[in-house]
Amino acid sequence: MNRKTSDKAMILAIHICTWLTVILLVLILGYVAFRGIWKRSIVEDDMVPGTTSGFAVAGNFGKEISWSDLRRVARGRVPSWRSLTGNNLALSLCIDDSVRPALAKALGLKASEIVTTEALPIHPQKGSMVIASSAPKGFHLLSVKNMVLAVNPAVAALRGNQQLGAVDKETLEKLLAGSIGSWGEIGGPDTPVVKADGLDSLLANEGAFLMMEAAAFTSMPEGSVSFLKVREATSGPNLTMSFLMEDTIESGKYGGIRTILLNTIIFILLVALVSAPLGIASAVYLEEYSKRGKAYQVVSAAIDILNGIPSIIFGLFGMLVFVEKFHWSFCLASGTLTVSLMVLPTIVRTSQDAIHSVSRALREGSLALGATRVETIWKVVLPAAKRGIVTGMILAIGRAVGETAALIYTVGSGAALATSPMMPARTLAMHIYLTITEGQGLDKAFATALVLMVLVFVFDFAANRLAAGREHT
Amino acid sequence: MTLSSRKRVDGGLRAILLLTAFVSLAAVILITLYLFSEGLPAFHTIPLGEFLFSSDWSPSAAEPHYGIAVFVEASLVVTVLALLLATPFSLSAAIYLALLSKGWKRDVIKTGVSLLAGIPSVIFGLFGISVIVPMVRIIWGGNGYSLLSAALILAIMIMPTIINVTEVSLASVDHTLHEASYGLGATRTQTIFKVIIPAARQGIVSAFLLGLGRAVGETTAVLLVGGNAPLAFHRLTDMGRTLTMNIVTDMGYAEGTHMQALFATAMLLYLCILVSNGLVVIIARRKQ
Repeated sequence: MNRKTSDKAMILAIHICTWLTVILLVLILGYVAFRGIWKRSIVEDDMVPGTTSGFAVAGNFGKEISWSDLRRVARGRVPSWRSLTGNNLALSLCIDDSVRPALAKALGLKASEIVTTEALPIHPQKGSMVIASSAPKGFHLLSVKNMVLAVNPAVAALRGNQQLGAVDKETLEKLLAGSIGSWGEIGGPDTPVVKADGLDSLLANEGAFLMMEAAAFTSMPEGSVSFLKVREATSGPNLTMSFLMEDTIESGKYGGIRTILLNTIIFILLVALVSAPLGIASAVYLEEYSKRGKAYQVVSAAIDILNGIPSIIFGLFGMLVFVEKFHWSFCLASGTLTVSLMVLPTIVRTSQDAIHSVSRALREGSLALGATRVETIWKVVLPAAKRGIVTGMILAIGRAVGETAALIYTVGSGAALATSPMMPARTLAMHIYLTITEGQGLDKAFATALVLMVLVFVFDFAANRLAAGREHT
Repeated sequence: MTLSSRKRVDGGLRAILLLTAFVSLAAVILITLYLFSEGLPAFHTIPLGEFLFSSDWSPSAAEPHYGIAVFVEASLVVTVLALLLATPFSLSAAIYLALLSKGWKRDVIKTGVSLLAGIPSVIFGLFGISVIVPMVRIIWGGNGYSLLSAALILAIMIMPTIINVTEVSLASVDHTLHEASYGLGATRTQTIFKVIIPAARQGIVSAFLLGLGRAVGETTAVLLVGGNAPLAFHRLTDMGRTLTMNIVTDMGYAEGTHMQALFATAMLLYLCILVSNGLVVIIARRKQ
């Protein structure tokens, strides 16, 4: 009886552990897919959107523009939308003459500092930013972040190693509604919150705060007033069509991954071009010619060793030979050859299996009909083993496309489209690695990771289907 | 074509095929030669004892020291911990696949394991940064980037290797053994743990050796979550640097003896993996 229960418990434990493995996998895939599709990041900003009087800002991209960005735009310092919204399009500015005085006042500029621009377009033109009394047809209004949460310096002062530097957007709303009694509730000093009604009461009262227009705030003498940043969680679609279709700009800071995707495809094709003929020919030799003699054993052992060598060591080898000795520098050719060597064992082994499983009768039939050995291999054996060989190639490509360690010191980090094998060209996997290590935030890394994962699984799926089909026929 | 020219084509092709087959051999020989010719000169300036047993790695100091003991220790700790963490899950999954399941459940697990094996290591690294690292920080403290995080990620990464090889060796145990065991009145657990696993032990040892090889050589994922501090560590939640992390991090700017020391590190890594894979081959031979 006791034996039976312990048996049942053990089997149950095995079941649980096994299914936990699958749950773990689902969690990983689900998490990467979710973050790839949906981005959620917390942004701290100096200012919050407010109303503008006398002028309106309109454009084709984005929802809001910060006061300092608008200031740079008005002074003619922003040639492209890239630094504002990430859209890689030239920014052509149109400022209606009637709003110039109001704009200059709101931005704290002299009228002469605002650039003269082209006349208002009659038709909406992609890439224009219009500053006028209202948004022209085809443009949408951008809200200007021009309000500062100004506080008495005592509120934002350093206390020991603690300091109140920012508040959440929800907290700001509560502050404005008057439902927060003391700054202590949100990590500040234990002074009561006072909503100031003007500059004087802001300066006079230790716990005072005031929403101020940016121009007024910046004209105050340094240090007389402090401000709190406002934290806001932004979320939205991450992997979008435009992310896939746009070129990569400044190592992925802006733009999408089109060029990297193309580079990856070129890289895959080159790897296949190099490793497939070598691998298949090796497999043919080993299976059809070597007669399992000394040569077979030596080459087999070499393939086993090659298969076990960690990719970082392939990377070092590629660096020494292709990058340095051949003076190819960091380029697609160096990376391709390095990775081709790395995936060679996969192709040889699967091709060997496929060739080995071709029936003896087929071979002997062909030879008996007077075909030579080569003719038999080329016209009978290889066609019969085609499925298995292709499966091996796909597996190898799946491994190559996710590789990073072997590429860090061989392929270079260029993000432009590689038009020659001597150009540096990062692949998707390298792009993920590089954006993480350059500290660009994880959103773009996740979007790229989702693309890479889909690519890998398509290869994996294709290989499995082919392998399954082979078992049935 | 005449028969003789056809025969000549035959001979020529044979030679070409022979050449291609030796590409793999040439690659192994060249990789070994290059690694050793770049790494061995390091020992002209660095005493072997200091290299292996000193924990002072300060290549940029006025009086540079090249001791990799800390990195060896970190690699060992991370690998052993990863193997320990992976063992219950991998063994269970392999037993389940080979002995307990059939039909759709088996297909689900099988597909899952093959998908897990296909995930690129940089994606594991990304997952590690955003899930494992915060998790370790919240549960065990520290800043999250730690040897423990590296071991957790590695454990997940090496599971497919261990599962697949173990499954094959469990499935290949002679069926008469199962039946004899049941015939003697043993339960399923007793049969699995006292008959089948001992019978398949060589394959299982190979599986773990292969997993070990993969864990020791893994670079990108551990680099992203391990913290990469070249200092001695006291707890698992401390940041650490493994052999592979050291190679990748320093190779970007190393010169002269520093560079040679990195190649010597790679040499050590290569030898470790050669030994563990050699053991796998020897085990396979003995089985035959």
